[in-house]
Amino acid sequence: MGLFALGPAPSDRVREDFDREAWPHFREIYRASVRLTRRPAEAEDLAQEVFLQAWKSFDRFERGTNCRAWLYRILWNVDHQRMRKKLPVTLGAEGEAVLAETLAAEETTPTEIRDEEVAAALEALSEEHRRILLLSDVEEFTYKEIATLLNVPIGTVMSRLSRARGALRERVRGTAAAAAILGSRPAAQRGNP
Amino acid sequence: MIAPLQLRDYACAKVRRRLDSYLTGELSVDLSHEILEHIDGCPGCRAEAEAREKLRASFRRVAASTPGPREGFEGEVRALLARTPMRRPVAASLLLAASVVAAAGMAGWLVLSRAAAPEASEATVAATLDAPALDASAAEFAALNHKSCARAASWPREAASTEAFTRSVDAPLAAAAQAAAARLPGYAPVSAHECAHAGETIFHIILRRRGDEGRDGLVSVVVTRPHSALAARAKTTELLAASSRLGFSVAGARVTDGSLVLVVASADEKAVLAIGRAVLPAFAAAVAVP
Repeated sequence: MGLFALGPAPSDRVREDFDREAWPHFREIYRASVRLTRRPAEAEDLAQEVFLQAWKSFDRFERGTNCRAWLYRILWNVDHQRMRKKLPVTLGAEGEAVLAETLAAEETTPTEIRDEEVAAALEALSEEHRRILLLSDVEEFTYKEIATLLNVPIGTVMSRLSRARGALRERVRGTAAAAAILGSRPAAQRGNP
Repeated sequence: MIAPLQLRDYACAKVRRRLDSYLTGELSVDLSHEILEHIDGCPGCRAEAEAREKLRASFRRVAASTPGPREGFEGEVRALLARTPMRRPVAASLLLAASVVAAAGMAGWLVLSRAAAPEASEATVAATLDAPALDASAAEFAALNHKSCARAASWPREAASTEAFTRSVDAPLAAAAQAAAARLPGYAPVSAHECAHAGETIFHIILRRRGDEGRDGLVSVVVTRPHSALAARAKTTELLAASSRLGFSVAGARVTDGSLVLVVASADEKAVLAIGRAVLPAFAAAVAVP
């Protein structure tokens, strides 16, 4: 109950808003946290911190806008702080995009690939590659949304994604080639023409 | 024979550079059609597109197999949030003041105004707090109310009794006003009433520094309604800012129900902050009552 007998119960109302806007994304944020941290214990800390910060700053959430994207932005910021020590190397210069594009044009992707091989390839990727791929292909944010989320120009998103996809394909090709050599799969199915 | 091959390779290279953007639906309609047209006539690129799509699908399946939270975890976080107040962001320059208040269990308690040199302070405060102009309205509102009500009217030196102090307001407000006054032994309760000012109905408590008969001894505690226009306006900004032109110090905070509690006095900012720190728990307690 508020100070003013006639007034609405405001803290209840804010909590109701939070219940309606933010809580439906809790499981998704948790799972995104697992994908980012790879460890359930760390993921719990991360997801909890995201919701704690979201709640504390909920007055800054503009009602009617995309709460999921807002929560991801918090997730990214919190995780970025967590990762700062682990990821001292910043993302490469834009000039690398040209190289990445050239690679993307030349390579072929194996047609026969198992999920566990993709999982292994993902694990072998650098953090920056893995993360941007998660944003695009798993969380299904558009380039524009990712640009907002990471606070970088859209061209940067495209070149980072291009490099990341190239790296994933390369890993997968390596895995598929190894599988063929080990005889678990016919070599003919490794790639397309 | 070589020339057509080169041409085709060039076209393929161009398509494959854009293939991922095509598959994620990021290309314009025109470009998408261009790619689609090429893929129709190029088995190699068609196979590559299919392979990349498969890889993406596999990637998504792998990611989708991520386990959800363990049973009870969501409940734990909900419980944590239930006992966590919302916080208002605080500028770095104010962190010290805020931390003092945080220690007292309140969040975002700011000194809003210091008006030692009225004509210079507006710029000074803006520079110090980096506060948007909107924020100033809350502090100015409180300062104006202090000037037009507390300082303009003729008040007794001290309310004749507890009942006289709070008789014009409802029970929750009366309790909060009494609790606030009780937390400031150096100040005498003068009046607790509702004021209508600039379209806002606010709760106004007037106290007087004991032994100070002058108007500069008066202190106003102004409490907005939680979702009033003023509270909502201030809520959208990061900082509450100063009203310096009236020459008062204003300190304020938002309590958990969203109401703004603003303290106005002629004293310096340290003193006003201390007053605020003393009275704020009275309102926090009032709004916490279920």
